Amino acid sequence: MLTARGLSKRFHGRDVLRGIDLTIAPGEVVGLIGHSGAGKSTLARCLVGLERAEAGEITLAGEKVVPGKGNTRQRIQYLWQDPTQSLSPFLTATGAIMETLAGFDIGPRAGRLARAASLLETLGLPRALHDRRPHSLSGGQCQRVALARALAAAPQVLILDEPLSSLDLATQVSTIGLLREVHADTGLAMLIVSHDLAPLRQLADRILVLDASRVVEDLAMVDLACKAKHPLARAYAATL
Amino acid sequence: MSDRGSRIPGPRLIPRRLKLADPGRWPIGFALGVVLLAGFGLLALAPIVFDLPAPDEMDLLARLTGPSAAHPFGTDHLGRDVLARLIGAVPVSLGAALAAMAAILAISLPWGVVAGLAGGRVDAVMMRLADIIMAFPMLVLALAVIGFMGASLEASILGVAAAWWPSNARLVRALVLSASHRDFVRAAHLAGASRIRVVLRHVLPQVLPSLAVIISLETASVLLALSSLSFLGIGAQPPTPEWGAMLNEARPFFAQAPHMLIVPGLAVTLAVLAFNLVGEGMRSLLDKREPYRW
Amino acid sequence: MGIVPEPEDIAALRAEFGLDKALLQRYADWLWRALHFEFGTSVATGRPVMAEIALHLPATLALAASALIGAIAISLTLGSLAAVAGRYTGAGLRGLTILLVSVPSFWLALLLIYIFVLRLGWARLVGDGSLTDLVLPAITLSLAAGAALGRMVYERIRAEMSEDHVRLAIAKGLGPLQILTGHIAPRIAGPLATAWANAFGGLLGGAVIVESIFGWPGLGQLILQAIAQRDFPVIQAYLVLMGLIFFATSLAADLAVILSDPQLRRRLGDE
Repeated sequence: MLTARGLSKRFHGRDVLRGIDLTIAPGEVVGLIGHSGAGKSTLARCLVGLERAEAGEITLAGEKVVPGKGNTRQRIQYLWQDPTQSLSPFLTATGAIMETLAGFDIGPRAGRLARAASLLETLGLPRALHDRRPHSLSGGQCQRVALARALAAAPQVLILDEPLSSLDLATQVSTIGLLREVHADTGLAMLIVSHDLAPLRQLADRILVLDASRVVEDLAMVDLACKAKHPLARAYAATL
Repeated sequence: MSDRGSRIPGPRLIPRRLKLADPGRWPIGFALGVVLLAGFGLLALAPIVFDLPAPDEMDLLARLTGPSAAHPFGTDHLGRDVLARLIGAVPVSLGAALAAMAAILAISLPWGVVAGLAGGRVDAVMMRLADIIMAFPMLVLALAVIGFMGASLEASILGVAAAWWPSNARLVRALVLSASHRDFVRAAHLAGASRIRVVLRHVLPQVLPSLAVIISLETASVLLALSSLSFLGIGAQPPTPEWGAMLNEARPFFAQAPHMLIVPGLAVTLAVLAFNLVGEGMRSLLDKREPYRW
Repeated sequence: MGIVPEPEDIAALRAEFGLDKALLQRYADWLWRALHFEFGTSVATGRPVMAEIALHLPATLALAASALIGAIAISLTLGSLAAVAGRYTGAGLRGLTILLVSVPSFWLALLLIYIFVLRLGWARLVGDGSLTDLVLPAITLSLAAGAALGRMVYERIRAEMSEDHVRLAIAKGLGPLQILTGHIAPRIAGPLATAWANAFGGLLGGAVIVESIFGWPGLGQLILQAIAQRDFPVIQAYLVLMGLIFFATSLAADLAVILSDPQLRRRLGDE
């Protein structure tokens, strides 16, 4: 579905990405793990066009694309690390979804309000909260709105940047359940960036280990414990 | 006049705005400023309600008389009622300042917004152009513009606008730049909002509170400049009632008739003060940093 | 020349002022001459513009420079007092600052003249351009600028006081004066120098108003006359010259900031 070949990027004279290759098959959930500063977030941001890679190419369903431009903006959606910062303080939960539905011209105009409401409800945001703005919603509720907004675009790939790190423990557990549900319902291809293996173990089919700006291991989740060769991957496997 | 950069707070998140409902947070200065502005507004309406002599009605028998029952603020060198002229000048003086401010915003808002959002070469070229104008002292440039156009109230408004807009555009650009780098602005674009919508719905609302501060403080400085120009005789021309021009006319007589000096000067001071107080009040509401105390 | 000018006279005048050439060439000529400080002759007096300006420039520079010194002194006093003062004194000082910024200089000048010249007789209005005659105009010009700069000094100090290194200094038990001179002053000196240089531009412009009231024989008189008589060469020369002086001041301030900042100096030394 989504492939990247030879992505490289320098920042302040330092390589943050060195020739990254990556493939996400349709319906597959890929976990991307590594220490902070290894380049995980930069890679995710390059894939949605928030940053530009200096070298390499990205293809989506077989055709070469520029992330963030044209209809690629719709087809690859992104979930930000901190949902309270990524939702506009000026829009209600419904307003945020409507912005996406209208922006990408999805569905008939008349049905959009109902569509937004049902999407928010499916993701577990009670109807009473639909007209609230982010500052009167909890972190977990904001996360649901942000996820609903990403799904409203009807993307082909969803990229999640540390979706759990800004949430408290109880909300982390419910969010993992939510993401599993979403995947089961939509069969969406996902790339989940995390510094922690535990959530990836419950979500990912395959795992990429990033170290010092390179992909050092690319394995099916089930093989991580027995087939990992790189010391960092082995260290992660040992935490299971 | 030229240290505005540091006085303007950066954009703030909306939740802070909710606290504005708490009356204890509104400083006395702000309230005083609002009361003064409202007072000037009422003063401008006074001729409709009360029966006042016309601002340019002369009574040559009552020249340079001090305050009396007939003329509460006395009369000037042509026997005109100072109070009537003072009130007649409210729409002229404040109107000129607001017109100049509107002209400044008409240029600086689009200029700053486009430069801040476009970035790169467009931004660099637009800001260098503004820098060229800012290389001249503001009042000097205004004087030159008036010199080339010929002295009139319109020329002084245009001159002030021409000299004041670049610093304003710089402030707008700085605000837009920091507002457009917020996560939720970029998120809105990725989630489908068009560029226009991002600007109108997500960037401008962030900038508005700080912009209100800028506009209020700038109006004060523009009002000061315009009345100075009228005082120099190159702004509003006699017999137009204007506070600065009234003071200019009072100059030869102020040893004999100090009342001609006190009243219009006080009017300018209070009007400038009102805009400054409102601006500073709003600014201190937006700026919630607390310094450490010894 | 009669009442009705002969065609030859008009042609001669047009040639003298260069009006017979194409617009672009006239502009190029003007730019070339402006670079050499040749602005032609004053339309009103017939004398060379630069001679007129050279006659009045020293008085304006003296006024603006002494007003700048006054403004710096006022700003440092007001700003640091407001920063260290208690809650109510501080609020009072800030109120005074806003009031001083709001008083128009022309009115302030008239009030000062009324008090000091007409009532007390401490100063005279029609002077001979000596240094004592400079005191009242310089005070008038420096009060508003000093207050505006004082507000900035206060802002800077307040911003620094929100920083951790000041909290550390307070925790170490240092007194307000030590913290102000030892920890805060070095960090705000650079921005303040830049602000002072910028204020000089405002003072050059403001000088016009003050000069006109006190009869100080500076450029202000010249430019007001030029505006009234539509004497374009004088206006052009005034604009260009003031821009140059302002530019030179800003440049000097920037250089001073770079030279006084050890980090920047080291970086420049490396390159």
